This record gives sequence, C-alpha cells and structure tokens, in this order.
Amino acid sequence: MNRITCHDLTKKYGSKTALDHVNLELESGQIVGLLGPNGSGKTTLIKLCCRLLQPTSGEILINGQKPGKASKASIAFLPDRDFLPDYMRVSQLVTYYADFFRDFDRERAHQLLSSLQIDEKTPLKRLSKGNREKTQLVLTMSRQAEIYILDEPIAGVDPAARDFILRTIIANYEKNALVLISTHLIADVEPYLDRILFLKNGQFVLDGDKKQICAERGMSIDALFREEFEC
Amino acid sequence: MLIKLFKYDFAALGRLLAPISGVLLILSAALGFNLRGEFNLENWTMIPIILGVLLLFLVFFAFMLTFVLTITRFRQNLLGNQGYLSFSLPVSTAEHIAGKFLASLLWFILIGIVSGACFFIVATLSTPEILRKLTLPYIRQFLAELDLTISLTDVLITLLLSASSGLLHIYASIAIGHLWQKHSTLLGIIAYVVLSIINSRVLFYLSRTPFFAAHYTGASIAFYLVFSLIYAFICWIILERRLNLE
Repeated sequence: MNRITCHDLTKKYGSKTALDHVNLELESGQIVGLLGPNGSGKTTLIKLCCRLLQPTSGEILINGQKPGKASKASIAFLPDRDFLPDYMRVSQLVTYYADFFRDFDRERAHQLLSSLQIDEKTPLKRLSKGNREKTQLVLTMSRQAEIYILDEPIAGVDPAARDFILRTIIANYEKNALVLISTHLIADVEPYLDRILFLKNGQFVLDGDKKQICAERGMSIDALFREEFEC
Repeated sequence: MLIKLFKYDFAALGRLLAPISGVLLILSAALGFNLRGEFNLENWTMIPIILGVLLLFLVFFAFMLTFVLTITRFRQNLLGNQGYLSFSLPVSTAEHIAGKFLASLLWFILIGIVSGACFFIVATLSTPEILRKLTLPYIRQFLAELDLTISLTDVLITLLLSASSGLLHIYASIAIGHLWQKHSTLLGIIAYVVLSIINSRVLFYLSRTPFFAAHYTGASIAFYLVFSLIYAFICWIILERRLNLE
C-alpha cells in the first residue's frame, strides 16, 4: 500500500522554490532515507506530510487521503528540535501521548524509559540534552503507527547515543509501517535503510533501492552522497 | 479531543495562576484579621496599610498575568517549538483554538471571582456584622434599590461576550503576526492596534444609531458576538491555511 504519495508537489516561500514538482510513492514496510544538504527541501517535504505546511501546488496524499486529522493519527512524527513542554514530568508526557494517540503503547514507553534509567518523575527541563532527545524518541517510537517520520533523529548527540537511537528505532517500529528518516549522518543510518532518496534544490536526483544503487555505483551511499553534493 | 485539549491548557495556565489565587486569598484573610476593629484611622498601624496596598497590587498583577499567560500559551504552544507537537496531534485547528479560548476565558472568570472573594473576605473578617446582614432578602432589596434598568443576566452575558471578544482579538492578532516570521511580535502588536481601532470605530458609529440606543443590551451582545466570530475566523483561516512553523 502507498503510504505517502506526491503528485507534482511544489512549495514556494515567496520567490524561493523549496520543492519543485516532485513525484513520489512510498510504500509500507520499508525504511527510507531522505538525504540532502541543508536547504534541499527535506524538512519542507516532511512538514507537508505532517500538515504543518500547505503546498503551493500539486498534491500530497497520506494513506490515499489529504493530510488532516485522520492522517495525523497514523503518523508518528519526531521533529529536529526540542518540541515537548519542558515543565512537564516524563510521566505526564507519557500520559499526554496516551491521551491523544490511540496507538500509543504505554507499557513499551515505561520499559524503554526504565532501560534508559530515566526517572519518570523528573521534569523534562532537568534532564540532560541527550536524555531529553531519548525521551522524545521513546515517546515517538512507543506508538504503533503506520508511518514514522523522523527528522534528524541522531543529530546533536554523541556516537554512543546515536547507536542507541538507531537500535531503538529498528527494534520498535511496526514492521508493516513506513519509516522515513531525514539525516545528514548517512554513514550511521546507511546500514538500516531499504530505499534512498537524494533531494537537491527541491528535486529528487536519486530514488531507488539501496542495495541496487550500491551494487550499480560500486560505492556506499555515504560516498555517493559526498560525490553528488560536493561543494 | 476538545475536552482533553482544554484540560491541558487549563492546567498549563493554572501552574502560575492557581498559586497566585491562593496567595491572594491568604493575603486578604490576613488583611481582614488585621483590620478587625481598626476603622478608627488614628489607631491604624502600618501593617493593614501595607497589606491593603499589597492586595490591590496583587489583584492587578493577577489580571495582568492572566493576560500575559494567555498570549504566551497561545504563541508557545501553537506557533513555537511546541507547535510541532500540537499540530501533529489528531486534532483540528478549530479544536486547538477552542481549547485555548475556553481555558483562558475560564481563568479570567476565576481570577475575577477570586478578586471579588478577596474583598468579601476582607470586609467580613474585619467587620463580622456584615455576614449577619448578608441574607438573601437583604441582597434582593439592595438590588431593587439600585433601580437597575437592565437585568443582571444581561450584564453578565455582555461581560462574558466582551471578554470572549477580547481574547479572540488577541488570538487573531497573534495569528496575523505569524504571517511575517521575522517580525511576528511587531506585526502582532500592529494588528492588535489596527483591529482595536476598527472595533472602536464600528462601535462608535453603531452607538449613534437609533436602533442601538433603543436596544442597547441586545445590540451590545450582538456586537460582541459578531466581532468574536470575526476574530475567531481570522485566527482559524490563518492557522489552517498559512501555518509555517520554523
């Protein structure tokens, strides 16, 4: 089933074109790497999927429908910033997610937080940056969603934390779901990806199966990225 | 979902407003006890004067804080980083606006009730005889002697709609400010001033019509209701069609 479909999708901010007539079909049951340099349009595409933006022209469909209340219930979104109210305790945030998302697995969240030794009685603002990011990830991945959209999930954390985050994502996502990961840290994410999308100046310059691309080009995705986006 | 949104917005505002309300009530009790039998001005010490000034200041501060928290809650929770969480919830834009509006309105009402209760506490603790007088027949007679030409219900409805219009005016201004990311605060303030001018101009011309003079209460209620709907629509259409979280 096509989870995310884009038909001639365009987004402009004034005179600047962030996405330029892109077409895309992403199916369930795969981990997709959305890769590109800063300003290539990755976050714009993600925001359009999550209905945080409206397209200038064209169409985007989530599970065959326009983004809205229903699609938000099926998308677990992890943005690239601190987005949770920091005055709330971790336990309150678990309750918050359980209140609004029917697919939220409380037990999984408690187990993951416990394994990270994060005290649920602690307000978010008293946690270290790394633990805050892990808490955000735990809440997102404790959802049994149909689509996971993770915007730079491993940026700004140490290598050990990156490994943990990636292992958590792989271990906890629903296997029939679509996982869309946007990142600069390609070498870390590459082993887990099924499909690759290279986005440059608002257009896809590469779209295909990771193993096939690596075999055809005779290089890793990380090396290919450096070649494609050489400054 | 609206009830859940309301619950969290009410609790978020209450983090500061509940303790402030508690302090107001305690302070008014302290002032009331201090003023007992102290209405001979020659016998007044500094303590009741200080407590009285502090109470007045705190009541004013409580209303200003409610106003500021209303603005910051709306901005941070919808248009700040928390907006990434809020707008990813399976909730409509209208529900978001309604949840915040109802929570803020209820806190304004509660702060008003607490402020009234403070002065009641001061009056009854300092002069306990007042309590014996405050029977229902006495209150009815008091209101009858005021010779009000409008009903208390009409006054309360007008006040409620006026407060609603004021709140939605703030929300619409913040939403307009969001259209210009770099200077959203400046544009929001300008929008607030411009909408205030339009509001007051319309009221000025309407109040001079014979219809308004003849049906003052009904016309006032209609005026605030219409402007509430206009502000709510402005807020909704911008957040629905022009949302762009940085």
